[in-house]
Amino acid sequence: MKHAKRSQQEKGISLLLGTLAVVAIVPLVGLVVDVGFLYGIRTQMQASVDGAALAGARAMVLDTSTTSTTNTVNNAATWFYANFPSGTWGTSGTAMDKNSNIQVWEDCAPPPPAVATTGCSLNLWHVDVAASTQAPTYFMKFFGAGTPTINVIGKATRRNVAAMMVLDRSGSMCRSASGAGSQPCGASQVNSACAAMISAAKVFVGQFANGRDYIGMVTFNSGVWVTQPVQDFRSVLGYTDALGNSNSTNLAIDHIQCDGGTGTTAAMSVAYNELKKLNQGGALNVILLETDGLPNTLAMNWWDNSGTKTGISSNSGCTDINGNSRPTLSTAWNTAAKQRNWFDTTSYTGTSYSTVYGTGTYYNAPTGPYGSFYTSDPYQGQYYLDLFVPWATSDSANPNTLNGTANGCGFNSSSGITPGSAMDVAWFPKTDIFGNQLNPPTCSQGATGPCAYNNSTYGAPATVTGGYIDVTGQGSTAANWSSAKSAVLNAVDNAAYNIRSDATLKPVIYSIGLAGNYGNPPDTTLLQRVANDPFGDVFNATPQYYSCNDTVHNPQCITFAGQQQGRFVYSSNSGSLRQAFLTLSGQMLRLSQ
Amino acid sequence: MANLSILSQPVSEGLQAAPSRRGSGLRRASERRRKPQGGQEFVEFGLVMSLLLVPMFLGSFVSGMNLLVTVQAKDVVRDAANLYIHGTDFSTYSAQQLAQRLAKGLNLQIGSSFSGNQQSNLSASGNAVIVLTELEYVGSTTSPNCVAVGASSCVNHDSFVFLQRVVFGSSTIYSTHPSTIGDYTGTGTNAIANNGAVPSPITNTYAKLSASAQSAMTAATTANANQTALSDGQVIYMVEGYFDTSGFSLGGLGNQWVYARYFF
Repeated sequence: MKHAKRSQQEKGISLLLGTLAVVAIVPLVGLVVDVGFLYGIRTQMQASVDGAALAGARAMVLDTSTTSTTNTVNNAATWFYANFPSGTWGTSGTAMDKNSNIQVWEDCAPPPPAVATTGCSLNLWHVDVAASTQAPTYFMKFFGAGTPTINVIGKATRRNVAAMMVLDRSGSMCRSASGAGSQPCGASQVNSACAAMISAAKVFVGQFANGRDYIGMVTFNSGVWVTQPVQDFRSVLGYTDALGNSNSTNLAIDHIQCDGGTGTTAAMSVAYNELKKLNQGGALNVILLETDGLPNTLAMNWWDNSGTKTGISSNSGCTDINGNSRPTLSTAWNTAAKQRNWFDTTSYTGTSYSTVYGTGTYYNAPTGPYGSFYTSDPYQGQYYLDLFVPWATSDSANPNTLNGTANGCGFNSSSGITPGSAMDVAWFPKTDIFGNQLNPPTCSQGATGPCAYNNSTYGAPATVTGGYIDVTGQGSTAANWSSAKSAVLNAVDNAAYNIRSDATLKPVIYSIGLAGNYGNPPDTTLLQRVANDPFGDVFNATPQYYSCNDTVHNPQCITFAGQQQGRFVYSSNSGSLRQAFLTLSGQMLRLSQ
Repeated sequence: MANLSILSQPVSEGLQAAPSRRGSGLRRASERRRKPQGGQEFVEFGLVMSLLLVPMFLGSFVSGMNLLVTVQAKDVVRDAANLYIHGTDFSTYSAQQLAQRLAKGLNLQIGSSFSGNQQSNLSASGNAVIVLTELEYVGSTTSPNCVAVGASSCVNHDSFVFLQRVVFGSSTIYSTHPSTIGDYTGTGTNAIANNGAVPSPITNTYAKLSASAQSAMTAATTANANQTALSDGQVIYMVEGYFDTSGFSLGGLGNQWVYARYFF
């Protein structure tokens, strides 16, 4: 009876215990659900402030001074609320005020109470976005936790950019859709490729942050002109920005006049020299090369210290300004004085590279005039040789005035070499005056470099004798021009390799090839190599060239995994040149964040 | 001692080892008590379990799994957006493989391998699709974008336009869950490039977003007082992801889909 009674009393005990357990379990489960929900909200909100900070950093280019942050802040706020609109996941009271929750600061000047750290970078900017919101709870509110506050902070940084534009101002840039056009040409010849380049270059400049970034410019034909990189580049170069602002007066870019040859190597080397002098190690150092044709000019020094080679061909009938012919010189050009004898020293103004550009990587380049080898495309049936000073400081200078007045040889601009005649030079040195190799070793994809670029279409491997490039007899026909042509191509390729080898500045090279110069189009493989771009055509609807990774169709395209990768864009006409510049500025701005 | 020995044995054996009258009485009492209670605890426990605990634990599990998948999906899209804005080219197979690794566990299947660039790389299988879009806002006919092409040719003025579109993942999901801002539909000379670049976005009418997408973008960028209307030339990076999460929802108890979208 006693057991039976107890049995009756125990009926429903499990139900009771279970129910009692539920009282404890429900809050625990509720806690799990609510905490999970809060975690989900926090994830969404964190991504939103991250996106806002990045968007703000991206918009920093629109603020035209280091003290202005209007566009940065506005953009950050816009994209925060685009990602986290009011009421997201049931939240309320979301607080991200653009005037108080966004901080823009330079790395060496953090907002108080923080202090600058050792090794801070003057080229690094921070955008911090803080936000908070009240999150709903569905179970915890019964236990006093109604709407907990979630706080998040998103951070982004933007590196300043130090960019040098290297723009082709050769005569072929005067071409328009209707024909070759007359030279010189410029912005006023509105249908020319030169005018399109001028317009696109200003749009490119307008993409960067005046006061933060550094932009400079080297323009080149047979010589080079330099506008040194400065932070107030808009008032020096000219620009057109995304908001429609531009200069009312014509500045450096507008002054570009196109004519002459294509001295790509010297221009790239001088551009790098400017970056080297600027020495902004914490910045994104960039060289943007735009060209519409094959390089055809080299700045060389035939002065051979060893005296083992004779620069002047034994077939040359040249005489110097004193009337001395080659046999009189015996070992021609083996001293600076003898080299100068080939120039009209009375008209030579004495500007040397170091005089014009000061120190830098190439400050040890020998002073004095150098021989610049220039040839138009031999396949067009015209080629000649000249000597001149290959650089100048501004457009007002007159670097295209050739210095040589030596009689009877191609060093004189007025006479030149009659097409079909032999060259006066017997050999090219191993490097140009900037140290770029004219005949580096042959190698294949995967090599550590440098590697020769022996494009079989434009120039077979150079004939080399004792380390010097033998050009004896070249120039008489297009077919035997290969060593000279090969040297020019190799020099451009090697200049890019040397620039990318800088482990301190880590320069990135971008390149634009502009088609339309029908007889002498840009070499896509060369420009891929210059940019160290392993990928294929990502600009045109129909790919215009094979990727560097395609060793079957593009075997001469070698890239180096250990060096900075840039990008090559092939603009099929001058109409798409602006978009080509914008594409690459977009790439640079992405990388700078 | 005998009792002790009984106690030291298993109960059943002890009962069998002491077949006394008293012992048989105990067994009868035990049987009486058990009979009316037969399985009552189990029934009660079953009731509690089935009515309260099982749904609760099941709900917690489904809710937790859904949350887990949602957070993971959103993280994948956020990471893809971050890579995208920093220059990763998702029209390359290697970049798509990277996204696939980020989405580990979400069964993001991309199409077959390829070299170079491919704007769309969809697979018949898989539970996810990623859509990357680069947009630009084109200002009025007097804005730089329009001036550059001539005002009369600037057919996409005051509009959001496609600059790039790259899609990879499940073709099935993409057919049922396309991008919220639609697809670029240009063909022929206006066909999208292999890398997803849209040709002539200022003058090509196909590049312009649909009216509903224009409204959605405008609303997304102007709804809050802290937002500022976009100006000409501003670029927007948008990444969307659709994830079929029915496999995590125990037969439809939880969400069947997770959609994530980020503007960077």
